[in-house]
Amino acid sequence: MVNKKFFNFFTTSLIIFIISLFFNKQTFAANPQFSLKIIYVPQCMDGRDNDGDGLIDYPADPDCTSPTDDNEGPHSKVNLASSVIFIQGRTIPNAKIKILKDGKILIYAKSDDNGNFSQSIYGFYHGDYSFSVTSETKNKTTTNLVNFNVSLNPGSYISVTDVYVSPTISSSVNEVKKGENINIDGYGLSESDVQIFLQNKKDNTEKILNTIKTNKQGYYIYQFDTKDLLEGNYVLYSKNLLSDTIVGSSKNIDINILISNDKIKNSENYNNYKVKCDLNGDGNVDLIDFSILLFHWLASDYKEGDFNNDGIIDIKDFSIMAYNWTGD
Amino acid sequence: MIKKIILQTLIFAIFLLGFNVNASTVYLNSTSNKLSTSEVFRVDFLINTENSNINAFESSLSFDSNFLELQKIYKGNSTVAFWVKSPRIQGNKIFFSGITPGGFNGENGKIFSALFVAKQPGITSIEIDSNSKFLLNDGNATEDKFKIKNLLLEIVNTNNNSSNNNQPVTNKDNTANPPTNTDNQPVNNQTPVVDKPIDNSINNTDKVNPEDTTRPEEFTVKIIKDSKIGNGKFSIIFNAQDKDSGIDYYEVKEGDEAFKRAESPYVLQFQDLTKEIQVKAVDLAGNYRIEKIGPFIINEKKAVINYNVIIISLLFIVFVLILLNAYLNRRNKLKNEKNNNI
Repeated sequence: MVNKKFFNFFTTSLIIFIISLFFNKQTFAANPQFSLKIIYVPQCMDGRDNDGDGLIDYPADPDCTSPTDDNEGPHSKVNLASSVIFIQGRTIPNAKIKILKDGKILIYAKSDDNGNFSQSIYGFYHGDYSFSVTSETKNKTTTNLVNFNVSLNPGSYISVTDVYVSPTISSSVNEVKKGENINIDGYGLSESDVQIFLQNKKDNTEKILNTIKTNKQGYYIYQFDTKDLLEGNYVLYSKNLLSDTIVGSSKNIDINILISNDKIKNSENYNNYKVKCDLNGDGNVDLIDFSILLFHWLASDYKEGDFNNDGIIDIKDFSIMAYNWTGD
Repeated sequence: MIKKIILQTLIFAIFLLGFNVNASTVYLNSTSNKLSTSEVFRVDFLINTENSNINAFESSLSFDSNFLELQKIYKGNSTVAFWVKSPRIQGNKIFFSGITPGGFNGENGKIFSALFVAKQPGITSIEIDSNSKFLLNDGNATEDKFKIKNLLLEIVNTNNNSSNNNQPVTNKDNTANPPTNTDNQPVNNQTPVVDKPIDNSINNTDKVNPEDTTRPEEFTVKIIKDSKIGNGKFSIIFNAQDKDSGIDYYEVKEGDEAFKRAESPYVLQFQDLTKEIQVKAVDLAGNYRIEKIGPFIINEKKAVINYNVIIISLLFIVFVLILLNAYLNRRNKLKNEKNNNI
């Protein structure tokens, strides 16, 4: 009797637990993912003359008490040396790379023929910084921001490696009649696998349309037949794989599937490379667009800034802008 | 039997909601939970995102003004890159909202800090609005699930807690102590006993307020002219960062005018842009940095010398003269031949 009660108890809780996990998975399925590793090297083993006394690291510099000592200078003085952050990663080959600090462009870089990039940045002193990396392709499409937060102490050296920048995606149209084809293309890591996902907005389910190999330049293209889809709103996005591991997720693009007798409204003016949330039309989503949106805070008559079409400019529209941020 | 199953389901549903591994936690961390009257203490508003990537939020804190008085708000070293609504007090609530492009995913992310003074003995709390919004960086502004850990505070009479007063204030950094959770706990609003007048001097502020002698970071002032801002007038936009106490306010000076308080975007007074524009970002400690732009000379009446046009015009004239010369030579030649024939 006790065992039966326990069995019921256990089974019920297990079912609820599985359901709970399922719903959680649905909520976070479309989040961009990235892989990064932060290596913190103490000053007394970073190979640099941090205090400028001509002596490098432990045991050469007598101020170092051990290799793990994070102050190469005299310990009685406050260390006000500039910090260095080294960022290394991989992205679309020959792409323009923007490195942002706290949402503002800090420095530009360029990836090589294989998509590798690295950049050292000097001039920080202390504090918590939010760094972002994004890439821009030849056709001006941009990737999602890869963000990482670092806490800098004076004179510290931080190495951020394995930063994989997400792929881009664009489509030939944003509205088609059922049965018509959609051309999907974009850029990812050179000669890697890209999975294209389709998410049904109505029931939040998603499926993989196909897995495609990018060419040497990182380009991929896929023609998608919509004959098996139901009428409604969908989201397309892609994920880059490296050795079967997802290393980045593209931005989302909205697709509307119509039944055959519906009239296509806006595909004539559709610009597949238009930057979403770019309110002043300069090709960037930055402080200017933020200021414009802020000017219309809680307005109900500013449709250009009502990105989620809920009739009001509120924090949700700012969230969508933050997702599409490119910096200036 | 059915009742048992329903009961079990309810119990485990409640259990599992609390066990939600993906939910962010927003909480308050204080330099001290047991306070003396007149003691100044700092409260950090922090977020643990677990595995979520949060890029925007809108929230408020409420406190009982009978027990606590807000002294200062520090926005320095925040995970927030741009404030939509900078933390501001209205009544006994602090409202704020902001964004982080690309999102924040991590532990102990500080949103801002507030400095309070304990006014009267009793038990009180600082509470996070349960209707707050924490939005995922997914392009759809999906609301993240979150757990709230409010802050429960005990304020004792200064005389009764003299030993506590002598102790240094602990936990000055942002390391997260296990937050004091007042969820679902009734707050015992004891009738406060006023022993002495409230001392608003913040003598022990230094213990909770990190020294800030650093100027705000360099920032850019941009001039824009957009129909959507200020009816299409020339405006400036700016946003500075300060990693210590945080930006307190901005001032703008146009030409010889005096500095005056301003917010971005700021519609310029002198639309001809002939004045130098200075923007001063001031942090809470009074350190400031001034960035300048302009003046821009835009005078349509002034003649513009375009040397390329002049050179091309001269070449054209020379070419015409050569053609004219050739024509005249040929005509003279023909005329001479005609005369010779005659």
